[in-house]
Amino acid sequence: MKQTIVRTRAVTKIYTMGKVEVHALRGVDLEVQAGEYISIMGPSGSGKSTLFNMIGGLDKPSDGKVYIEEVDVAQLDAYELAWLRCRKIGYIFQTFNIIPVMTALENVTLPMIFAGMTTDESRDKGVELLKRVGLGDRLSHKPFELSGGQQQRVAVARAMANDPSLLLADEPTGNLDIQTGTEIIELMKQMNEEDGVTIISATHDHKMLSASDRIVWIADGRIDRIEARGDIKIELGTIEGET
Amino acid sequence: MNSKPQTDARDEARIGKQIRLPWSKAIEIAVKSIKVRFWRSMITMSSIVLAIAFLMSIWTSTAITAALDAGPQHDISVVRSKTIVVRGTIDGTAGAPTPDELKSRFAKDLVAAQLWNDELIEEKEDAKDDATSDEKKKLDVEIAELKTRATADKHVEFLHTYLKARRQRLESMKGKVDAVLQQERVGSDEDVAPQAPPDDSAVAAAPPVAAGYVGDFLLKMSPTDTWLAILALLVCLVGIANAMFMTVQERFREIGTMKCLGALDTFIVKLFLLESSALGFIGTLLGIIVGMFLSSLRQLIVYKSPTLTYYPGLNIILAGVLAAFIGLLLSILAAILPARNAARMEPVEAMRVEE
Repeated sequence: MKQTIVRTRAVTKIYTMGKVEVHALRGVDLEVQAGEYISIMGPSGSGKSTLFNMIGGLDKPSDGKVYIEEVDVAQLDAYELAWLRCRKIGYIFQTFNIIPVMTALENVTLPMIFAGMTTDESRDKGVELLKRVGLGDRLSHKPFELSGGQQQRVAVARAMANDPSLLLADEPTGNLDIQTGTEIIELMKQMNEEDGVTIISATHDHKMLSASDRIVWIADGRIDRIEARGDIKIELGTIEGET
Repeated sequence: MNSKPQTDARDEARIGKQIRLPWSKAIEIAVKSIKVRFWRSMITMSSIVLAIAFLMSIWTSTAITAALDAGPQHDISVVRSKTIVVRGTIDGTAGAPTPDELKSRFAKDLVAAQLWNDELIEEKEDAKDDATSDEKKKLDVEIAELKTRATADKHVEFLHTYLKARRQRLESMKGKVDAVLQQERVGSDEDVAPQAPPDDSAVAAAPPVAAGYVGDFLLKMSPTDTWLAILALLVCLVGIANAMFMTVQERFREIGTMKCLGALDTFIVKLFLLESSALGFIGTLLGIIVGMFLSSLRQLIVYKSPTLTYYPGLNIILAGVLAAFIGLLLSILAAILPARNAARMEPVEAMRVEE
């Protein structure tokens, strides 16, 4: 039986900047099933990031509700929210956000430590994850020794550290070139297919279209339309290079 | 469906599977963070080193001086070093005590000097009984001299005269064999007895007695020194806090990311307090060692060997422990506000992209 991982109901967000009110979201209803790969697409200022923050429990709506695994996030206290972020949700950022003072392995195992795993267990699992994303030979590299694409791979491995049910990616390919971006999208798709982890990605990147099960187009704080992959006709030019 | 069938998330959080940051991991991260910003950490630490070194050096010199002042009166080297101090006041050397300071520091010696002077006057008065009229006149002149030299306004020179006389007396008795162990207790009247230059039969070969009293390094600090020390510590506190605030601002992404990984606010506070304490601990240790050595060296140069004989070890250890406590407290206090600041950062900060 399919489970609804994320459900929003009439989610509204209003920012007050001095005297001006900015309606970032104007009543958004969305349901995401477990195991789906969803892309939220839209121009800057469309409310894409705001919706993303709502779904990820990083912000509270001005009105409406957000449910993650049927739990109303607005009612969670700081401790419960932290637990949610530790165990249920994995984050991937545009700026990679790998902690600079730690090696790749230490970065990946950090969430496991928070979750209470022993050093040995976390080490083994971390190595396994890094191998899976193709960085088995870079375990003790620090972020400045890794390329952008490699850092993002570490981020993916880290996001998967505690076997989350939900992976949230905010412009994961924003700082990557086309080749590397494609690799990362493929990696995420791999996680989605192999582990059944739900992926919600807020992105500009049209390369994401072919990987997504559904695409949610946002404009002006509202959902414009939702397309399923089969409905999309994509014409993308290819750029010479190795596939 | 607005009920919460999936309460396991909340229950689990409450019951067994909590979020933890083990101390070993926290220390690991704190140490790494220091290493990564090594030079800035060193600069922050140097302010602690300086402030604590200053504090410790004041306490050390106060303790040594107090120890020497209370040193056994029959010890020739003690008398010698006191003479040097008084000499300094007479000559007006920089750093020498003022006449008023001398009065309070060598109060006991002044009393002894008075008694000694009175004894001399009495001897001369007695001698008048069997003297001729010419001799009587001479004696009267000498008595008058003795009286004038001991007036209140001349106490510095008087002290000098007395100490010189004692020194000569002790020097003349060096090498005399008969030793009677004279235990001098601080505060008793024994050491102000006019017989303080002991008579021929008793050359005291007393072993160095713990001079001064425990804690005198605190109580005998001059007000100026106290204010300076407080000021130095305050400046240090502000400096550390300032540096930490800047560090926190720079690390907004790191902090936000950690929170997205599930870190609690208390973890963040823990990390920053640990960093500050580590720097504080090492800086304090260095400061104590530097302050103690520089000060002891200076006292050694001024007062020479008595410094080592009467080295107030216990007091200096106490001073060191107190300084360590103050230093550590300082570094933690300085970090409290910045750490709270860091803990209040929202996870969404990690998403911020500089366009």
